[in-house]
Amino acid sequence: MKTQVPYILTVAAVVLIVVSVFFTFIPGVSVEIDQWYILGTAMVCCVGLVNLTSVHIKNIKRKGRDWDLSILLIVLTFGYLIYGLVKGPTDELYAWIFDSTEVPLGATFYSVLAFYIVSAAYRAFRAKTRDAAILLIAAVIVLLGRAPLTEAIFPFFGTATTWIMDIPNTAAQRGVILCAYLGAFITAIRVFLGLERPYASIGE
Amino acid sequence: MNIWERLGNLDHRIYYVILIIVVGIPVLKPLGLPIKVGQPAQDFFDTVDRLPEGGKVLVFINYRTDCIVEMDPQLICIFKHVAQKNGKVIMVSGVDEGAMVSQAVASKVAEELELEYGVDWINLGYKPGGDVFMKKMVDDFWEACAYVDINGQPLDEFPIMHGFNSLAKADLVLNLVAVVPSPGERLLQMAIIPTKVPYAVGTTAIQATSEMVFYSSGQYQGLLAGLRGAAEYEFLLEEPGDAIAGMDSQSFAHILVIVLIVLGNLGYFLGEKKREG
Amino acid sequence: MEQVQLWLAAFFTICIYSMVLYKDNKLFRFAEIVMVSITAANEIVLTFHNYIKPAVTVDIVRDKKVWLLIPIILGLFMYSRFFRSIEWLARFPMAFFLGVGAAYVLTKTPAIFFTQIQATFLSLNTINNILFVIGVITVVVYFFFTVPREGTFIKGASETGRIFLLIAFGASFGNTVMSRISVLLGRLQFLLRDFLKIA
Repeated sequence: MKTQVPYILTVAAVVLIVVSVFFTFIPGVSVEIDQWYILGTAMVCCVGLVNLTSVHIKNIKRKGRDWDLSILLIVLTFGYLIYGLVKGPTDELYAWIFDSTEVPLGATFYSVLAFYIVSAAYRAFRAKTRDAAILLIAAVIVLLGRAPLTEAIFPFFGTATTWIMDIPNTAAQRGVILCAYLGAFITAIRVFLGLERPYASIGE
Repeated sequence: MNIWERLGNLDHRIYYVILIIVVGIPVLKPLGLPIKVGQPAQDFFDTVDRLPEGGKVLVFINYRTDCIVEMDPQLICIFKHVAQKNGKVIMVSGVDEGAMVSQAVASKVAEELELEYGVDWINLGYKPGGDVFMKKMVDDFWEACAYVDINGQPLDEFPIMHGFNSLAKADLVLNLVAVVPSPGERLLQMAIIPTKVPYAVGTTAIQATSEMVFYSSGQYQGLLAGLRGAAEYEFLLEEPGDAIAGMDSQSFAHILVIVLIVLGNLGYFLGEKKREG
Repeated sequence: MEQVQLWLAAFFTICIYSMVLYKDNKLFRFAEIVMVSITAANEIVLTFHNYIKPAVTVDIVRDKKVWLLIPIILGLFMYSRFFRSIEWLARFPMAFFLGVGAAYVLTKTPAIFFTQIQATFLSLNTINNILFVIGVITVVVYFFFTVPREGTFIKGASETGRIFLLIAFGASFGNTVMSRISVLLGRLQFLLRDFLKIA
């Protein structure tokens, strides 16, 4: 039962949805399965929180690194969660806390990469091989073409950037996604045939 | 130790400070450099411009707080452009943070433009389910959105939602995308190809390279790429904002990165010649 | 409240930059903790209020669709992963989600796949079109890992595809730099214009 029933669920889901595409006199089936899927995935929203809580509680128990910050994490997470569950996401205070913390933090965390790019630009981006040279030349042309200042002074870079984006970039990306679609299609068939069962090892 | 090695061994924090200065100075003293509008942004503008009077635009928000600099100006421009056409905006988010971020932005713009919530615009909030949710928006939009908006209010209380029971009823679908796998492509597969609704995408500069594939095949009827795309849209709308203001800094930062790449490579090759000699 | 919000935002911005401009420190880790906490809690609050609560209220309680308790129980089975003795229960929801995902790949992917192929059939009357078609074909050949890279055609096509890929990655890198600089610009605009009010 532990191995066969999950596979039966997979096959049933695939067959019902595929059949409902070809036979539209049973339209309600795929609509119902969609609802099941969305409800099921919605219920999984707390998995991250449970994992986070268990990791940090273990850290607090053994007084590991930054265990004081672990206590703060638990207090903040559950405090904000309970308040949000009671008052709702559009409550003034709830939204205010989000705008004061998450928005600046989220933006700032990713802006740190700009510093690393600049540091790496001098130390690491070397045209040591032909391949690296091609990559760097394309990158430099795109950088110059996308900046209004250099585009205004040297219109050639703007034209070259547009050409790079429209022709070699799009051609390569299309090749990549065609192969990705083929791979996804074949994987879906393998899942249906039971040759791919990533869930099979859970609980072994 | 020659000059190239000394530069390479410099404390990296010096590079960071140089970057802050280079990006910060144009913020203090903007230069007002001209912007050339590219075809993808022009097509995006034209697609929204073709919206019939009073038409409904479904805006799918798929970005988080990390990309607000590039995506918020796009959302603001969309609101302003649709308002010019007396259109209605229905926002729904496939990403939790997107619902909160878009609510803050949309509320502010709506207040400026005197748009009424529930009549001219609505935010349906975050809806889980990914691809399957996108497909369900075509089959039964209200059930897909669990019959409520972001505030938990029933949808039948809002005039904007009356008669809007499927994505196919939208006059235009816009997708603001900044996560992977790309919801731009997923929505295309799950909902746009079956319904043939006009569709355009706004994305970050990083994802623009991969989204170009669908713009090139004509499946996206417009593409805004990052802050530059937002600046081009602001220029076309004649509503200069944060995006246009940021272009000067962008120019100088790009030049700095290129100068460092060139210096680094010069140092490497000259150093190698010296070692060989 | 707006002033407090500005100060908080500036404080958190400085906390993050302190790691970059100085070194890893407690302030940075504090900012990390705050971000993780708010993110984790926010996702659950939004999912609950924008979907679970109304869906259960309308579909199950009002419309009496009690069979919708089945997917709810299936979803709850995913939490069995935290208990060794009943971990195997998580196979059921995973198998179901996988099946639905596979079904939609099988039914939806062909349309976009063939549209992309169709869009590659360009008239070979311009150099750009010729280069484009060559680019797509050679990149696809590059990803044929099961074909031995012998013979002039496969080797040559594979090498050409590789060059197209390198140009695409170069363009991607240029755009990445642009994107990251934009985010930094946003923070500097906030600090200089909104917080310090000197711009």
